[in-house]
Amino acid sequence: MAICPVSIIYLLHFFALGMQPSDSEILKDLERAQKDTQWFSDHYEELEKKYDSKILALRDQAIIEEADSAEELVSKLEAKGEDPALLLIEAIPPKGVTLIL
Amino acid sequence: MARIPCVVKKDRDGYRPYVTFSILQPKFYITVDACVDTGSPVTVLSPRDALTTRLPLSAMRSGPTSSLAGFTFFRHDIGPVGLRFRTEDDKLLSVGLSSLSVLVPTKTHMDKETQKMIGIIPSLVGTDLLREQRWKFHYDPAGNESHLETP
Repeated sequence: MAICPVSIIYLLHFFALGMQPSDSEILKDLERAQKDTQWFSDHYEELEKKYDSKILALRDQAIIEEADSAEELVSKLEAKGEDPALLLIEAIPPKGVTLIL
Repeated sequence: MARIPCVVKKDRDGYRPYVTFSILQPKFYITVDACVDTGSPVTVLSPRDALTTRLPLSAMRSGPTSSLAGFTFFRHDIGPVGLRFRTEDDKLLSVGLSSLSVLVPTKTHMDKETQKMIGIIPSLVGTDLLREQRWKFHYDPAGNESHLETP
């Protein structure tokens, strides 16, 4: 019987809900995310040439998935059995677009 | 006193300070990278980060509305959350935030271009967190250095 990767993710989440991550696991996730965000900034000029207008998922200082929208990215990640909540999600704005918050 | 490092992140238009933290709530656990925005009175979870939580966003189309980056969003309050930060001396700092809002677009049907534009909006750390925790925010744009400082 084939099991859909998405079902596995939801199953893992179901178990995870009753079992919060330990402090050491959170610290490890934060350290990885901080390194990833620094890597994204350091490599921004080369990434914007390659991934213009894309939403990106990063892990361990590498792009593991790209998509045109956040919805598409989450679908692609879930299809691969990845948990998007544990990845750093970044965006490269389209050329000529300035984000003023 | 503890220091939480921020990354002064480059983008196409220049640099903005970001801080990485984890959000713990009974229904989800995520790690986000949020822009520290002292112009925002509230801390918000962006639409793209909200998607990764698997919260029922279609049922969260309520709350006050806010305009951000030219788009209008419901600011749906999900109540108190636990936040975890990594300090510069590699310690875990746990704090609470009395209320976290999720940005949910007011438009139900969006074309691909609009979806793409909404996807580039980051989560924001607003002054509510800084006030509640009595943290200071330091930002040296010329020196590319930024951090949060606890009392």
